[in-house]
Amino acid sequence: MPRALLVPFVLALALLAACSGRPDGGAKYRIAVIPKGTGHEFWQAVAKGARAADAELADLEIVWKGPAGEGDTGAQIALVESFLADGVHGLCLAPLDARALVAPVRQALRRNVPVVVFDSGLAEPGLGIVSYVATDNRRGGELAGEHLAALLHGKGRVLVLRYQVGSESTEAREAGCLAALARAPGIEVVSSDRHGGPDEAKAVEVSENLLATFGDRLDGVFCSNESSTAGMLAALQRDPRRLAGRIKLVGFDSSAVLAQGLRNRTVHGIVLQDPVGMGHQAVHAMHKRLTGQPVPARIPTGEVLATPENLDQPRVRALLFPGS
Amino acid sequence: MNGPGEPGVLLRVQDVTKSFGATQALRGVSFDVRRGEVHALLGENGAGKSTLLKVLAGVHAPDAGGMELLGQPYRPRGPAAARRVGVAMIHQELCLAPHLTVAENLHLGAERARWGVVRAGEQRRAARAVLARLGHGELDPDTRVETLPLALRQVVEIARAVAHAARVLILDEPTSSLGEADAARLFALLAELRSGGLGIVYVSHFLDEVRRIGDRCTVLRDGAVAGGGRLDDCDDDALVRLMVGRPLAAMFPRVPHGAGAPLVEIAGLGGRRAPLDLDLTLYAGEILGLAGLVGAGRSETLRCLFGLDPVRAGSARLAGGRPLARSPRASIAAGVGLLSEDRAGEGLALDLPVAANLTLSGLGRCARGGFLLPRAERAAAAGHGASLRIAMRSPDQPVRELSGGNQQKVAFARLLHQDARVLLLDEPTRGIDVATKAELYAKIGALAAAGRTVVLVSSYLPELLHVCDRIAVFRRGRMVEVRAAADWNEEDLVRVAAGGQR
Amino acid sequence: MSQERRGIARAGSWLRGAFAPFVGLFVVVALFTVYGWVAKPESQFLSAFRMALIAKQTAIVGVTALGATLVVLSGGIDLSVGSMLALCTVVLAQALAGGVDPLAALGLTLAVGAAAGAVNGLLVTRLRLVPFLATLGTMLLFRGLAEEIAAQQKIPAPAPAWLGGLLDPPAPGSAWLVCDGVWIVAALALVLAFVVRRTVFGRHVVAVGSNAATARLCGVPVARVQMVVYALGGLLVALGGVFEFANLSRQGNPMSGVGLELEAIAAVVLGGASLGGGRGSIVGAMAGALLMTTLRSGCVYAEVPDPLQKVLIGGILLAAIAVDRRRAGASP
Repeated sequence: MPRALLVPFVLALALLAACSGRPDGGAKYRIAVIPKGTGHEFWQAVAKGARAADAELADLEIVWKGPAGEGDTGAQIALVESFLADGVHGLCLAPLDARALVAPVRQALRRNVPVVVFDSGLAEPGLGIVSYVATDNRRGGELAGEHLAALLHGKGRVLVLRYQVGSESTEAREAGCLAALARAPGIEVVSSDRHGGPDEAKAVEVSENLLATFGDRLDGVFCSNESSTAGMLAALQRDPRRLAGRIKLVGFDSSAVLAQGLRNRTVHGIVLQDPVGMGHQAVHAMHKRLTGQPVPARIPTGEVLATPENLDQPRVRALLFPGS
Repeated sequence: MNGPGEPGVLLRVQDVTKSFGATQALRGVSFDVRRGEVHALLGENGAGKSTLLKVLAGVHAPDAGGMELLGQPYRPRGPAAARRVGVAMIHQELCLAPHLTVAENLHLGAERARWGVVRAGEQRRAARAVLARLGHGELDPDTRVETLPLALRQVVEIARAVAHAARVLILDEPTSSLGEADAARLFALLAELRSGGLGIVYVSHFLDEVRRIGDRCTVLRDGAVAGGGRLDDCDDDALVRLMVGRPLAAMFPRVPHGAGAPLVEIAGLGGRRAPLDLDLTLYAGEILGLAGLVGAGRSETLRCLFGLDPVRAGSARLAGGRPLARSPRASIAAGVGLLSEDRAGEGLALDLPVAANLTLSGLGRCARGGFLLPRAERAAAAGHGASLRIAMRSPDQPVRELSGGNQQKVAFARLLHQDARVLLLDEPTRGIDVATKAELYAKIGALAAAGRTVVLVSSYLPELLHVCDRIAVFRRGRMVEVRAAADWNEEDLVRVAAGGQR
Repeated sequence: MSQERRGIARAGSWLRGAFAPFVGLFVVVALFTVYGWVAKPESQFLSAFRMALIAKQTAIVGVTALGATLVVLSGGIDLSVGSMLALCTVVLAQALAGGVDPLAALGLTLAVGAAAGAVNGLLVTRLRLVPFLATLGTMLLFRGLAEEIAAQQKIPAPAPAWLGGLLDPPAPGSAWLVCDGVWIVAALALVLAFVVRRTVFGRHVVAVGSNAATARLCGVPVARVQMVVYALGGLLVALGGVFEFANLSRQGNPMSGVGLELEAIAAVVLGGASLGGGRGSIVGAMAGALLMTTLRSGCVYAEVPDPLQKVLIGGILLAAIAVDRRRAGASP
């Protein structure tokens, strides 16, 4: 190598080593934990649980890495493939797309790399994954729908703001909610075909447009994830008709802003998952498999409805503020 | 093969008319091209030559009138269709793919291929054969076109036409960017093609070169045929009168002027490639001509002096001691202006209005405190437009819509607007018509009479001999000789430029 | 050009660039209005409320498009604006959350934006990188910086009403009609339109974009002009970042602004600009940005399904550009 190139090369190498988050080995098992994204607080909580499990298990270490942003399925597929090439012992994966991730998972299983799927399922049963560690999203959606119907005394006009096409978990929540609402004959669903998308600013815009169109005669809203709930809340709060608080808003997943909304009654219900428990249990399930212990095929992590009334109960509080 | 009419007629144009909106570009033009002849098309800019060529090459369809190729009706639907039946145009701006090789360019659009795979060897052989036939066997088919000088690119383009069995070759101002030697080679090549039976339509502003190569001519004026015939039968005066309606003597109007005090001192100036170690003094009120072959370093000298190209050695100063050759900005501030030889690429922002182009280098004259004064700007444009007789609709018209001669006047007017004391003019009359040339010569003379210094680079020797007071000849980056214009003649200029012995 | 058009050529020159997108805007508004009369008599499309909403939704892409118009006019392109916006919004939130005085935090944010733009400018002028590639690189770079500063989380932060409420609607019955952010963008648009058309700097920008070689020949300080244009673009994007912070209920989100660069460029092109440089209009770009938000809002109003909405917007975008190109290329 010419000398002129040597110095920058060494510098780059040093920089790389300094930036590398890779633990310095020693553990027997190295497993990759791949969330849907890294920006949302939900995934921060999952990471917290996974890291707790990592700390508990001496013979195992995790590598936490998600696609930049949320919603880039291609980037997630590439991540799975590069971890396989890297020779990890196991994969914990929250698939961004129920179908698109089937092929990379199958590839992993073929190479005898066990896969735990968490948060969101895959569209193909019988793949041979270790376990599915997740909230019962349909049940969570039903919980939200029943709560919304009860808030409105079984009568009124509501809309459902969806998250994104192809996201299995949120689609199950939306289906559950719509099913519960359908059981209340006095409820009319005025719109359920809009998607907030992963960009919160877009969720705000879609919410504003929905409120401009339906806001005058609207009684309730359900949003199926954190960013669309936050976007809808922002739109409600800014609406000059003072819609916030008057229109019942039921959402999914927590964040500081949503918890605050619950406190000042601009949000009327949040279905909470247990992201810390999910991360924790996913890694433990993988560890059991690697050490030859039996693992159940489905590990439900539970769902809880937080309301302005119950938000100070310790169990709800713990799920509402997973970071604390 | 020949049509039923006169023997040997390849292409016949009959009463062709073409209008663009309200402008009638061609009114009932008729002429023909015979096999084995060079037919020269003469006329001022705007006389309709370009339109006629575009009709011939299939770019425009005529509104009325007809064309025949070898006795068959000829109605090409586009340039590609025209090429397919054997009518090929060589443009002023050559259209070759610069990143492809000579061989690839020769076969562009008609690749020799099997199953979609180009047969490079076969193409190379074919290219070599064609180039050899044209007397350019030394040209390697694998050379990338961008590395070739302009003259050789032109050869490649002609070779492409020949390789595709062209019967009629249309050349639009082919020598406008060529030096004397390259032009001579081109004429030899054309003579070769002519004797091979091709019909050649040749457009040029230069009467002398038309005489060297042409057999017959047709003169256009205002979209109609003004006259024509065998070139041997008409003298220059007659041709010029047909083109512009005035005699030849009016072409180089002389404005009395005389050299005054030294204005610019150039000492040991050296650029990247040229000039080399240039010592020269420019005087107020003089017109200095720079002669030489293409690539001899004349343009580079102007660009170096103006600060566009980097200076490697020496210096240039104004009489007051103010340094030159730093940056265009500094040069303009010191009262130096440059007219670029590349009008479309560098000289003008074609999409901007006339006014914006004209005032760009002297914007301070139309602004106060950083804010533009649109009225002052329009007034400046209108004033210079009137004094140079620029044919434009309004100062807001994009320069692109003007004819070549008027575009050049805009570029020239810019130097007047910035009130340059030293005007560096690089091929100022290239590609513009006789009448406009005469106007520019008069203006240059007037500038010298007003005490300005003009440095004129030109490849058109009569222009240098008639317009300049002194002429310096460049060869390979060096100024080899400078004399009063009266002490030069064309033969001397050519010999010194080419490095011949006395 | 015919005799009668000659007379209006001068008066029309101001509007010429901006005219086409306004026609498009008018057509789209008319379309939804007529649809409303026919199909939705109970709620009209053209309400003051909806107009104010559309204006507010245009603020972020609009202020970004202001800078993008300058950059495109100068013959460049800036793909990094979306990431730059995320960087700025995160810097603002982090500063406010850290207890920095709001005015100082605003100043810091604008400075960061201008500096980020200047980085692009340096890459283009000093390293002579093609703007497309230079800003493709900084697009990743700024996004990474934003995520790093925010530790990949949303940052909620306290902010006073004049800062955090920039996009909040005015009090009912107020004479201001639309939120402060919209007035700021409108004022900036007028100032910049004047700068482009009536100042030496603006003329230099257009000249550099139209033909950089000519500009150099005429003594225009080409590199300096490009630097200023990119830095100014960054400054405007920073303001967009401030709006984004206000838009997300006083939070800085490091994932903000994904795809914003394309929306801004679409607005600029809809506004009659040529990506080749030298042609473009500030007012036109604003109309282009309004056109797109109006379309999205109208599609919800008319209950056009999501997928069809995308097809519709894409189609209208192409149609508008095609129409404009025909107009521009009409002269022989």
